[in-house]
Amino acid sequence: MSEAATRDRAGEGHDRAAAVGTGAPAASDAGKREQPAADKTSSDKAPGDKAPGDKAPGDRARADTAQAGKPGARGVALGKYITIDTGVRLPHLDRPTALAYGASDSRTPTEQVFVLVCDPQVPPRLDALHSLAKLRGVPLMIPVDWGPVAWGEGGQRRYAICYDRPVDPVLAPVGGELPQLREDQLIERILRPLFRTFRELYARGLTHRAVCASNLYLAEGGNGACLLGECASAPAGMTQPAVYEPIDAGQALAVGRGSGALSDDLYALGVLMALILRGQDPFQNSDPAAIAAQKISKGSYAAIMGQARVSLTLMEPLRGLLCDRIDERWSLHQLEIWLNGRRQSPKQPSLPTKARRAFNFQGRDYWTAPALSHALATNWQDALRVLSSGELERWAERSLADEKQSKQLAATLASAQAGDGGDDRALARALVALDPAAPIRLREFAARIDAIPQALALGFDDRDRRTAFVEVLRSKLPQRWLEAQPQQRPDHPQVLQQFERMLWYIERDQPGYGMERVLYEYNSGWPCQSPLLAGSYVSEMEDLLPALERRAEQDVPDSAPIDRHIAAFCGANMKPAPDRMIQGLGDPNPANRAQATVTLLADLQRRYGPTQLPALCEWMARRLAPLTESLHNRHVREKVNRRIERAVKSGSLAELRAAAAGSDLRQRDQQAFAHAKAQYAQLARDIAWLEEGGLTSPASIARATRSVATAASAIAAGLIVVVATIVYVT
Amino acid sequence: MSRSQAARRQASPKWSANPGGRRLWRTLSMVVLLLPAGAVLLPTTLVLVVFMMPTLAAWLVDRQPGRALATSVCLLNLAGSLPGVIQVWTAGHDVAAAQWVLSDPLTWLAAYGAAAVGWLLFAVLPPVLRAHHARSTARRIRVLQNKQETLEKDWGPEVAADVKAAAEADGPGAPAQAA
Repeated sequence: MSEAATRDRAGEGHDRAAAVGTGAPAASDAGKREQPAADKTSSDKAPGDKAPGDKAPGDRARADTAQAGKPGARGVALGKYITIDTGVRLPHLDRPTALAYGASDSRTPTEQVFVLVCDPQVPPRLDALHSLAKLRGVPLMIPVDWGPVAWGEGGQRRYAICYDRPVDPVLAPVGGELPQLREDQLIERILRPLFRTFRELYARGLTHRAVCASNLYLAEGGNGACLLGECASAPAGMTQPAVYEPIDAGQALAVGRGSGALSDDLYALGVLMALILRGQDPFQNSDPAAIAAQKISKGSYAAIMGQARVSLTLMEPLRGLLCDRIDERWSLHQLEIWLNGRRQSPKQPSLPTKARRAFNFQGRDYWTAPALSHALATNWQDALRVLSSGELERWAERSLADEKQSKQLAATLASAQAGDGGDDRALARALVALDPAAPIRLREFAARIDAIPQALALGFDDRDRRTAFVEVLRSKLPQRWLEAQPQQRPDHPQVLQQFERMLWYIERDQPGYGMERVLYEYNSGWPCQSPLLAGSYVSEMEDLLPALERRAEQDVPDSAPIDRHIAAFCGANMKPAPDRMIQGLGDPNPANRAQATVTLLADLQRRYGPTQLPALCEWMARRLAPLTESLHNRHVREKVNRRIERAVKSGSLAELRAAAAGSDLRQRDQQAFAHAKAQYAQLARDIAWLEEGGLTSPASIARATRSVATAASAIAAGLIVVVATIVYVT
Repeated sequence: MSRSQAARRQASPKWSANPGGRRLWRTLSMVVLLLPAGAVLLPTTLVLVVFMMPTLAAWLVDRQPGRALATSVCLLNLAGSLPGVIQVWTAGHDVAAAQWVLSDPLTWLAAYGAAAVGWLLFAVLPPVLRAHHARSTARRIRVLQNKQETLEKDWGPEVAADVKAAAEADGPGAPAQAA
């Protein structure tokens, strides 16, 4: 989703005229509640720890559908306790990629909760949800429950997250005017609570990535505690307005910002403070590229604050938090020191080193490598012409103050001229050399290194995005980016290994590998994108077979129940990965493919349930037809068919796998068939011999005559001798 | 056998390498053995020589390998001559007894009649056997075709594919069974 689209979506739901519900405290009291249903099914529930009426995961999903998916029903169940009232829309609580609805929690009927129903194309941060739910005593919207819910007609499912309904309105809706707060209010009502929140998040290895005025709830006039809004309904950083993002994240696509680090949240806090102090967003109508360009050329502090005056007290945290160099940006510790009253002189902005001579591009002079890099990246076609002209190389050699950077750039450009990978790749490498802090950029693709898989996932249907992703990997841009970093981190080899593994997957075209495998392997909790599961929202293995069963109940498709997406989903999420079965899915022989499919499905049923899947068995039985038809012997075929029918009735895929003709049986059948063919040919030869007079030919008759006559003569002579002997003796 | 041994054997000619010579030697050795026996049993020999003439004739006529006609005639002829030989032996086994036996038409009838039966067998058996084999052939073809049908039923038409393909390759008029 583009930044503009994100902004549009954000603007839709933020209608301040709507009344805000009352009664719920700011801080979550989720401690009273049990663990969310989605949590229990995946990890915490012990095998024997089943409540009466509790069902297997697959049964649970089916029960959800049965309860809530009926047309016209107002109540949709989320887990065991939450009921979503689909008739109560709460547009003021909407998030850019999720719609808010009223809900009730049967455990705490007096408290008001609401549910965010996520966009099916934009999955929530499932990995963060579990950790967020464990947070206590911080002014942050804590998820109460979450999971897929039946939504609308036709068995569609969406992911929904339940939160306590905030009491106060948002600080400022998107595009709205920011309220004026006193210095002490800013510190005590916003800065200090958010510091505590960040500390707790950081302790759990989380980032918020949605700190902005439209996601902060504060009482009118700044009196009362603030509440930081939710951050799990969309991938990290995706819905954040570009002004709140550091330069590198602002240069990336909204989907390519990633979870980032705590420094990103601290930067966003700095931006929030600056905007409140300034009273408006100076970049309200600017596009992200223009915002990033301004920040690069002036520095974030100057770009956001402009000529606005700010007290020396607040200037210190502002300059510290808005520092564009990550290694110089304030850490949580420095913020804590400042909040504790220790004052220092404000940090001076460190802008990129100027070149000795400006580089003129599209009529504008660029004095720094990052500024030029940004301009080139945002005007790709013109940048390609500049690259091919050799001007850039000359400028880098003569004008760049940083000798190391100059040499790197020269080496990159030299390899580009040698024709190593085409112009686009050469330009992408040159951009990395020009500005190592910037995201990896290739044509329209721009993503921070840790968000590259997420950028692929959120644009998987976009052919250009996929092509760019493959080019990024094949041209080893992540490796070059890591090499270009001024400071090497201990996790860099691990990151490098990840990208090499991604390339390994992509180079394999068989089912279970390829782009799909990268999608699921490196985007934890990503829902399966298979067309067979369209609208089913399958993000956990437990939900896969029930979703396929529902699909089969509608009508049995002509395709196999395991396509490339499902195979890759299984490969990425099943531990240990069923690699042998997955490899069988790519077998050129349809019979072997069907055998591998039923084996994998049986393994899924064994591991995740449910115990009965009659419709899916019926679907699979049809796919096994080539396997059965490949048997030559009628009796064996009929026997296998009878066993398959029994397996379909029982709904057991394991039985179906056992019933299906295995390779041993097929091999024996093949050997017996070869023997039968030989036997048939021998019979044919015998018949032909008889028909050609094998017994009645003159030669044969003569031969028989000789034999018979000799034998008859011998017998007769013998009899005569015996008789004569008897006569003459007596 | 080593190559040198084979070469040696090929280089040294032996009588066994000549079947005609071997047969001559065998005949001569039989004559040497039978001649004294014939001299000692002269009456018997006389009777047998006269009565076994049909066998000699059959031997001369039958040029088929194995000489089945000669064998049949010989066996029956010998059986038919047996009464005459017994009469010679019972009459004192001298030349007179032999003459007496040879003058008896019944003994002639027995010897030559039996030999005739041997000849007759060869004349009568072929049409009888032809008729019998014709019936047997039809029956056996039916049995074999039933077995083929069973195989096709159990294994499908693919089991006959090779046979039919070969028949088609041989020509449209060729029988399907011609593998």
